[in-house]
Amino acid sequence: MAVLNPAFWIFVAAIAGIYAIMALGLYVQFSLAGLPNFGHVAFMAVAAYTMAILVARYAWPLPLAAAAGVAAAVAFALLLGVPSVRLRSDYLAIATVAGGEIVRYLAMNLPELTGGPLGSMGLLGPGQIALYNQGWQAFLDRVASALSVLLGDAASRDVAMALVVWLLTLVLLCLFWRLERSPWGRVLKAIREDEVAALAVGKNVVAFKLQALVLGAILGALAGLLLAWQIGVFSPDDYQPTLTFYAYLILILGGMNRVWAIPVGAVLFSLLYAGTRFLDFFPLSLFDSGSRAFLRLFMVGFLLVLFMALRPQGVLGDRRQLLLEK
Amino acid sequence: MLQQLAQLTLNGLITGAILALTGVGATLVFGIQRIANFAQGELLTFAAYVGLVLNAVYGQNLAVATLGAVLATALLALAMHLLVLRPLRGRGLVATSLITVGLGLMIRDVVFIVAGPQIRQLRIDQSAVLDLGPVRLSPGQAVAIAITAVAAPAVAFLLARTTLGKSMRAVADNRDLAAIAGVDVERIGTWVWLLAGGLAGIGGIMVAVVQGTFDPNLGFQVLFLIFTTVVLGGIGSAYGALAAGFVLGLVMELSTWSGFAGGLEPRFKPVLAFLALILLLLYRPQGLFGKARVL
Amino acid sequence: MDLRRLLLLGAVAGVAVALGQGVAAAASDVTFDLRYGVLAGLTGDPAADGQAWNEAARLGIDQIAAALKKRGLSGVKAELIDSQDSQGTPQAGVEAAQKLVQIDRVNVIIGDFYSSVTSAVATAVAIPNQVLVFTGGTSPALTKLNTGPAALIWQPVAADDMQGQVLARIIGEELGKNAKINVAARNDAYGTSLSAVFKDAWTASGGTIPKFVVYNQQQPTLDTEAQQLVEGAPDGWLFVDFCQTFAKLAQPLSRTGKWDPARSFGSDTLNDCATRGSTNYPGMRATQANASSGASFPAFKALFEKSAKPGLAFQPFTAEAFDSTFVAFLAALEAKSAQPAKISQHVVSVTTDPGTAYTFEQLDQAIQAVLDGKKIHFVGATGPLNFSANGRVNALAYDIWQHKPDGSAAVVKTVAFQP
Repeated sequence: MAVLNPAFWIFVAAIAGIYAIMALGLYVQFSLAGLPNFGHVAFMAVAAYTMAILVARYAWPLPLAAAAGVAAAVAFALLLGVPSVRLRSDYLAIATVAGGEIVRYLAMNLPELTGGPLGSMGLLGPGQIALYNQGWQAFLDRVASALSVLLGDAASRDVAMALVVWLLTLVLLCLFWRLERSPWGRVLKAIREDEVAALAVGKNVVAFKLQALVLGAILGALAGLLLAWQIGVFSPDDYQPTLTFYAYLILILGGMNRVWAIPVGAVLFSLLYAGTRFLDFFPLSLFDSGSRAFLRLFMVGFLLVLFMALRPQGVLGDRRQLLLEK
Repeated sequence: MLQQLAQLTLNGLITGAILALTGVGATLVFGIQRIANFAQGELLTFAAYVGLVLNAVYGQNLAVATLGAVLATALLALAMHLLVLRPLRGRGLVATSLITVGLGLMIRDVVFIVAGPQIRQLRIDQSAVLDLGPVRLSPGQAVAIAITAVAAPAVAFLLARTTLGKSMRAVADNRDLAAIAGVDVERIGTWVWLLAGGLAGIGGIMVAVVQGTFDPNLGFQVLFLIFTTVVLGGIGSAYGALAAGFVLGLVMELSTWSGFAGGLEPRFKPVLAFLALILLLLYRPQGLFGKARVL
Repeated sequence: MDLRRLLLLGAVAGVAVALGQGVAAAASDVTFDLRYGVLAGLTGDPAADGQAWNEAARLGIDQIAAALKKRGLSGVKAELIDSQDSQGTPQAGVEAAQKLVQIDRVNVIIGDFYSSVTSAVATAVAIPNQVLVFTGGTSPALTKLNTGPAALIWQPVAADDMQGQVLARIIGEELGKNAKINVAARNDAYGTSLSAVFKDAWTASGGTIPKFVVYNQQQPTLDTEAQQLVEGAPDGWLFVDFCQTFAKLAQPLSRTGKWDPARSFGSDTLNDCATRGSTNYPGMRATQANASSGASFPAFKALFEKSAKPGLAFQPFTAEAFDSTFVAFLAALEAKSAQPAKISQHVVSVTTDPGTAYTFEQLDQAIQAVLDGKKIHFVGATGPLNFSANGRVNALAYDIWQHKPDGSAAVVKTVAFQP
């Protein structure tokens, strides 16, 4: 067993980067604007499906389809946001879950539109395979051949993907770190901590919240597109509410209120998730392989509870920050 | 047509009863403890399997199995509260909700490991039919109705007439005010978990008998409908959950009536439920019976 | 003198050793290490099916390892390296497959059970890394991914496009081409694809479908769906589901009092529900790609009941996982190599005529025959297989099973099928 085979871990690293972007989107909505959006996964789904339908069925060029995907996610954010932003936080949480589940159910039950339960492969009907990421793979190949100057043989498509994703992640993190410190960010912070006061000084709270939601949706859409390109095929099962839970977990693992804690959380989470695939050692090898799969999820749940018990502020977080949480 | 309407109304009331009873427990927990309990579904699963063990393995009849399930689930909920959730309080809504997600994962996968993924059945002859004129009942549905007939008035009585029930509603409505009025909020919190567990126990058995067959995914599949019930009724309002549960069940089932332009295709029922919630919140952000926001 | 003698002695010794090795090698010149990986949805919604798939694959590989040990073929190894959980989603499936391929270095992946996961794994992991895949997915599009020189994706299950047409033909013969058939299908890739193919084939030959009901198999009650299915005065029904979730629909159906199992047909997954932990519905019929000629299904079932994890129920396509392990092994034996590209060139030859037929119970003899250079035809628990070069199985005949009043099921007719 080549545990340290870099090919696998580079793949995991690319996924970690994509999850970091997804978590950043949630950060903007939750940590900055105080909106506990539990339907974040829906932005990923809407963007991915829009892009895939346009490319596979109507042969749109990839960048244009990607932009359309992001636009669709923004539209959905506004659609979901207008009824939701006025809600109290616990109502908002469940309303957004409901919104996300609507997207998933529709994706599963409208096969002429979305390919149905078969997923993106079925976009062109049952007998054909619908692929949409040839353009992306061509792009990655170009990046890889450029990299081979530096890395020689090691420059594979996966390496290119990891690099592109993390470069994008870092750029976005910088961007939002600056945004957090801008006047716009300060208003959001004020809204999060005392909405009444913010209203009292004349800030249009609803507008700011919607802006945060839309920004979060754009980031979610980006993450959804990247994930769709990396895996090549997706189905409605990929967009269950569990994915939003993972995004929250990443925020919490790293530390709730720091932008730069997000990549730490994402890496930790990916290590947890991928690392628990390696459980065939004693004493766990006493369980048969089927039960080990259940054990793996049990451990993920257990470690989650344990982490929350021992270090609720996250790896990079500040314990005092917890008191500000409502 | 009318016969279908009658049948659908009955189906809707039964589904509604399941959502209503489980929703009461969930809404009180949500309102009092400020926790979105994502392990609520797993409490139902646990109940169904305890019932299965008592009914199929130890050969007890259904009533005993139900009682056993209720007790066991109440204890499990209490354990969750005392061992995990109370010590880890104060971390905010999202963090605590994630803890319940973790607990739910643990419970679900333990049931998977111990009981296996295959489909199970309680010992009811599901092929029998009770012909009541316009409607036909399955034995499972009859059992569910019997349980509701006992449990719903009992819960309503508990909430309306007993000190405990009134205290629960008071704390859910306004924690600080209740504390000032002399209610021991801590103790009430514990009782709420016991009640939520017990009601989840009832709900689990009801789902098992109404569905006919079940597997460890049972709870997770109804979880979001339970949450929809809670929010629809107004978080923290027990009567709201009761009402919302029945409303949701009826809306979901009746929407498939062919009198409504052919009727909704049944597989879109959850979509309708979620949509109904969002639309209601648009006009009434606090749910049907929730406390109106000051803001 | 000493040096030259020493050199001469060394040369003689060297030649002797070489000759000796040559002799030994001729006796068993086959050495390879066939590494298997299993990919299936082991937890969550697909858990029941995935766990059974995993166990069946494990049983097959255990049988192979036992046969190898008995023969003393120490140079040949067949081992199950790891089983990974795809959770039924393409994303988790690809990560799981990456682990199997990059870390465990498997040559063959038995899985996934879902077409969506298989298509993702095939395009993202298996084909780029040249790893064989034996899938339980039934989408006809999967084998279309075999565009390279070596066919890497093999589909031991009868694909939907073939199944759907067979059903249309058989129902047409039994109930009349213009009959009104209500269709009920589970809402997943298998159900929706198969029912869609049937619908096209059925309406094209003059039939009608008054009610076409797709249902979420996880829904608590299917009463409404059952009531819809008995409307429209149908001449018959077609059900596309797995036995255990079908029970959830069958119970309310029988309560309506208007359902007649004798006029109902099921897909291949419903051919004998009593053997799958459920009940049969006397009179109901289902099709299956020809399994009754020389199939070792009863023996496999007995083995599964004896050695699989206790309490795990038999599921659809479990037997295909079992058969796949033998096909991969025998093909590797004939290719004398565990390299996926080489194995893929021999899959057709070990599963088609001409060739002496062997089942898994005669694995010893099959191994000997292949080592002797003879052509074999491995007949699986699911039937003669007859793989073709594009990765699909070819059923030359279909059995019609019928559920009997005593609760069992038996084959009542076999029809030849020309596509």
